[in-house]
Amino acid sequence: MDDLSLFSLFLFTNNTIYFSIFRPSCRNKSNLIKTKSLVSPSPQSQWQGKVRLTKWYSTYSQKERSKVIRELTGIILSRGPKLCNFVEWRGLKVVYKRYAGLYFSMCIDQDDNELETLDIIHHYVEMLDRYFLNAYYILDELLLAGELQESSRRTIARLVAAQDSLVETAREQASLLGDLVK
Amino acid sequence: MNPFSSGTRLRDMIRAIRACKTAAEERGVVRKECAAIRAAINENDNDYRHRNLAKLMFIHMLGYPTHFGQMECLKLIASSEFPEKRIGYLGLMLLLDERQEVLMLVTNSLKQDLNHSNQYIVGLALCALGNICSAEMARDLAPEVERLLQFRDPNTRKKAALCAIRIIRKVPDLAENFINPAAALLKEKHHGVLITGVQLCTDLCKASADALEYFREKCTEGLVKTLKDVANSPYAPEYDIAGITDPFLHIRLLKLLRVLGQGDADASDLMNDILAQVATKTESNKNAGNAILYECVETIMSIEDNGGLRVLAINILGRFLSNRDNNIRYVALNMLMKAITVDAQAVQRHRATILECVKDSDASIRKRALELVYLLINESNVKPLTKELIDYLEVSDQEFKGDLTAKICSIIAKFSPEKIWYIDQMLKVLSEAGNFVKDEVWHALIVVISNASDLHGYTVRALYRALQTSVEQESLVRVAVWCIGEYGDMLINNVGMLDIEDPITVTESDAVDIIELAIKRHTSDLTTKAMSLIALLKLSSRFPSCSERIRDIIVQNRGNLVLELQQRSIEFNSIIQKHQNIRSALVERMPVLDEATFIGRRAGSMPATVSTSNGASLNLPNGVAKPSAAPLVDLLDLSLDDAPAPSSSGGDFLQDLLGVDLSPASNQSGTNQASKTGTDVLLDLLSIETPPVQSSSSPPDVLSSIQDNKSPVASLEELALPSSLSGQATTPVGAAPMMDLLDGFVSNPPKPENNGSVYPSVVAFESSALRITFDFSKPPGNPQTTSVQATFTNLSPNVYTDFIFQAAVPKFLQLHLDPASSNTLPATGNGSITQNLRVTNSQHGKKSLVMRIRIAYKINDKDVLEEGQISNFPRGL
Repeated sequence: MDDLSLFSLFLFTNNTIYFSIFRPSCRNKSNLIKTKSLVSPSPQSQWQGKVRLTKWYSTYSQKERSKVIRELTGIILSRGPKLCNFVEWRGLKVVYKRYAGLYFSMCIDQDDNELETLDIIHHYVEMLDRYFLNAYYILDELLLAGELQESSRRTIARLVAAQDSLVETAREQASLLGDLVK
Repeated sequence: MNPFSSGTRLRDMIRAIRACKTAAEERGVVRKECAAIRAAINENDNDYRHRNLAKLMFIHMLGYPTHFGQMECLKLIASSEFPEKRIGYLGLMLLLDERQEVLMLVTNSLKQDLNHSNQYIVGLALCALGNICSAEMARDLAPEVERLLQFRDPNTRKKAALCAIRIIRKVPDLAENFINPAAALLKEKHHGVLITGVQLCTDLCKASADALEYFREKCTEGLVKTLKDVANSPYAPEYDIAGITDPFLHIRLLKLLRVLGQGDADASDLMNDILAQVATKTESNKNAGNAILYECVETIMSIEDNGGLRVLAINILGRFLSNRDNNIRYVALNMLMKAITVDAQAVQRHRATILECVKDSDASIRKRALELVYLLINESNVKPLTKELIDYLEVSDQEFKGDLTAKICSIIAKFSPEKIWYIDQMLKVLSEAGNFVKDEVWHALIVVISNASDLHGYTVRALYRALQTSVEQESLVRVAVWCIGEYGDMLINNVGMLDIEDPITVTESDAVDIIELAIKRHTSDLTTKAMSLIALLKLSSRFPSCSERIRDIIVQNRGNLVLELQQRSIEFNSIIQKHQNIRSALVERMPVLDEATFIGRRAGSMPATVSTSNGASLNLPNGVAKPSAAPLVDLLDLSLDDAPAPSSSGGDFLQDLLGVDLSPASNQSGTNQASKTGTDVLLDLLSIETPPVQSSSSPPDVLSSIQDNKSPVASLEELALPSSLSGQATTPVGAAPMMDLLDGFVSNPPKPENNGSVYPSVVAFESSALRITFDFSKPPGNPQTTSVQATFTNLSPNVYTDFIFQAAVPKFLQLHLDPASSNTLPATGNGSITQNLRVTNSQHGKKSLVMRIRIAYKINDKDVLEEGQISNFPRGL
């Protein structure tokens, strides 16, 4: 199986939630999150400011999606460093946080808890930090239908690892089989 | 295996794309990859299907179309192996959404996977279902999910619980199936299951009143106990965040308790103690703790009253508000908005701090604070708070000025204790941020000024002064120009001097100067310039000494490229030059504008709203004499404009016209004449951005527009004679129709049966055998509803029996048919059937009526069916 982690990015939404992670700079993901120092944005890179991962929990057409991403990227990237992590947008609230050069954001309803959403993002980032593979799969163990699924990091890690080993086993068997056929 | 179909590895493709220097280069690489993937799809290549899908997902994220790969997802999902399924489901969630029909094909695979023996495969299917399921899939698969809520593996149970949330959001009817299994989840010890179970219960309570009642009765105590256990639990590394055990679970429990406690005193009582404990014992030095406090405050505010707890909650918010962390202050402001309905006094205590937040550098906080201040304002504090806000207006960011101005204007309009204060504050706002003021706001200001007769002098002088310094604020200029035009004499003579005023000396030519400035400034827009021209016309009569100079300024616009200005210029010039005798009457001061009418118009409750679709249309409240002069002014303007050759008769004609319409209303002829030009202003004033009526430059235009928009006709009708204009209005109007129309006014005898109906009848349907006419009337007080009387006439020599009329309307209309007067229609028009219809137009003012009809009847026992569509309803019904 090809390594999915190379295109590390996502976001999600439900009728409430939309979550995105922007990654304005940075090429080497492994020290992205671990190093707390900011990676200086390289201006000539057209990869700057591109969204790496999105996950949508409510229905948006492809066109609406790119419009939303464009709008939000503009709003979030233009905000200064010391401001609060919440932006009101189209009657929803966007909670975002910057980790090194990566922006994580999540769109929630008016009456959702903003502070908790920050913790969810942090929860996710910690998972990525520990286990930087397959960001999508981690997300799918963390959130479902836009709602939090698991508050234990250990459980999430265990579940993703178990599934990865299933994939691994299947691959070994396949190659074994391939050898036999030869 | 085809060596060409394998293509590059995912890693290599990503590298190649990232290496691209230009967008064109990137497109090239993507195109090549897509072509290879398509080829592989066509060859049904199994070995690299997962790799191709992974590539497609990457390409999709770059924003390229990938619909051709959708079927590949389904094939991977249908495969028996876990790795294939895993990437297949990932692709499904990424590339498809619930609206795609392809998704229907996956329902079967999902069903199989939900019953799979491997719990991870079940998990994949639940995850996909929870993220993209449609209403139809929800119905099909709900039983499987319900069963999985009791599955032995906790990780499957929690996924099933969240999946159930999506299902009941899509199909709320399914809620009751989940009530019992959801209640069972609340007893779990596993945090993941407990969290998802609590969330499911919260959603069930929102979807179904039965569920709410059930959980309130059966589960409140248990939930309180669970919350107590979690809050008191010792350090648990697995769930610990900043020293707190599982804040996520805390928050979700508090949220569910809020739903249960709302509107139920007993349930609220049960949770008082634990809420007090959470509110006092939770550490507030970390984000997680604050998140819990925040949720706890919201719960306290929402459940049934307990004074002590609320004091506690407001104190927490006070602490939040003075926190240095912007996030905390933001949520405090957010929560205070909710608290204000519970305890306004307590929130008022924090007024000073909140006002400071309006001036914060963070736009999110400013916005919240401004909305909160708006809610805090009452009669007693409106003056100091407004002053603060207006002072801040001077220094605020440009992008914030729009919001701020709108709120200040709304505050002033809502709470103003007296007119002079209103005018003063509005002038300040206009001078500071006139460009951000919405049209209806300065329209309202003019109405207020016009009604404050003792303040006319004061206002015009204050505006004159303000204009010296803030000439770039468009709406200030407009209001000033209007007031100088109306009350210019008071400006010069210092009439109605108030004690608080400093006397100023303004000469007649100063006043003209300032209007000249407005008209010549290149940034002035059409409305300002047009208003300036009217002001000049008025001043030409008020200041005879400047008359020549004013005419010069007016004449300069004779060649203006904007038709509107050109026309006004020519007309006004002609009034000044040729019609001295009527000028002073023509430009008399505007009658006091009717506040009630204006407010009604703003609220949109009047039957007449200005239609913007047709530049020449103008709907006005029928029966209001003043504004209804407007269409007449158009005729008048046109006659001046149109009569260069018989110019002498133009004047007579004008007189005729005035005579015609004034004779029946002799007692108010003065007012009517005075409003002649006034109405132009009124037009601008009321018609907002539409080019005013005069912009249709030739008579046929105006007449045709009158024809298709009956309201001006209606107003004319009201004013002139109560004659039915229907015949006039529906007959095509020829090249020289002006006189006809006027003749129509004079010669048509009043028809007694036309009692108040202002819409002409129409022939709705006509065939060789049948004619249907519609007569319209509007019940007073309900602009959306129209009563239609349909009259059926038989044009054939045969009697129609079993006559049935049916009608259908689009969704925005509601139709009610009364029984017909008979079901037999005598031959050759020897009688008719009438039937009443009542149509309610929910899009009144936006869409016109339209109706499809079908008529069935029998001639000599032979069935006849006729059908048609009626779209020639008068507008504005």
